[in-house]
Amino acid sequence: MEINIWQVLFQVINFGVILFVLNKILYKPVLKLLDDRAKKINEGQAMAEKNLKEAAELDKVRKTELAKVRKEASAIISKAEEEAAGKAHALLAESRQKAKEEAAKIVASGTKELENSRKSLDKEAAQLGLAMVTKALEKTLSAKEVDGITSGLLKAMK
Amino acid sequence: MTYLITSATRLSAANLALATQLATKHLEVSGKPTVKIDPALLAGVIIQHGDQVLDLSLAGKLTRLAKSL
Repeated sequence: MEINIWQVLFQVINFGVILFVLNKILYKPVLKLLDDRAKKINEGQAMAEKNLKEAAELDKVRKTELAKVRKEASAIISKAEEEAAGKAHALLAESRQKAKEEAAKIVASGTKELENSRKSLDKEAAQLGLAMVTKALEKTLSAKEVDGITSGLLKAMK
Repeated sequence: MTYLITSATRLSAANLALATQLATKHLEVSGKPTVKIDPALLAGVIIQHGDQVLDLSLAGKLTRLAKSL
């Protein structure tokens, strides 16, 4: 078998032409398509990473804000509880004071009533005693005794 | 000027004299008194001259004692 140099040359040129044509028509658009696709995938990945990062940051902020709000709520609840306890204490003290005052008034009133009753009873007892003494003296004193007592009373005044 | 002496029983002369002296001393009256009997006085006398009263009765003393209790 002989090698025909022209044949070989022709084949080389033919291959080069085909290579050139294929390169122009097929390879470049396909490569471009692949590049674009890879680029889109990379962009998508980058976007996804960015979104994930943003989501993580937002979650962090959310957690921070939530903790802050919880702390504030806890502080507000504690303050409200303290205020309520203070008010309850004040109300209790006020109620106790009022009860003491009422009790003191009742005791004073009772004491006064008792004193009035005692005085009234004393007066009644004295009047009763006087009546009894008067009756007894009216019945028992003789004229001579009356004269003697009269004499004593007059001399005492003199 | 006349004045009144009230007694529980009829006054003896000595007691009447004493009552008259007291009337002169404390009520500044003299002369013969009008004498009245009131057994409610129990003993002693009440000498009255106008609105002035000198109560020296046993009933008066007992009443004042009862009031002071």
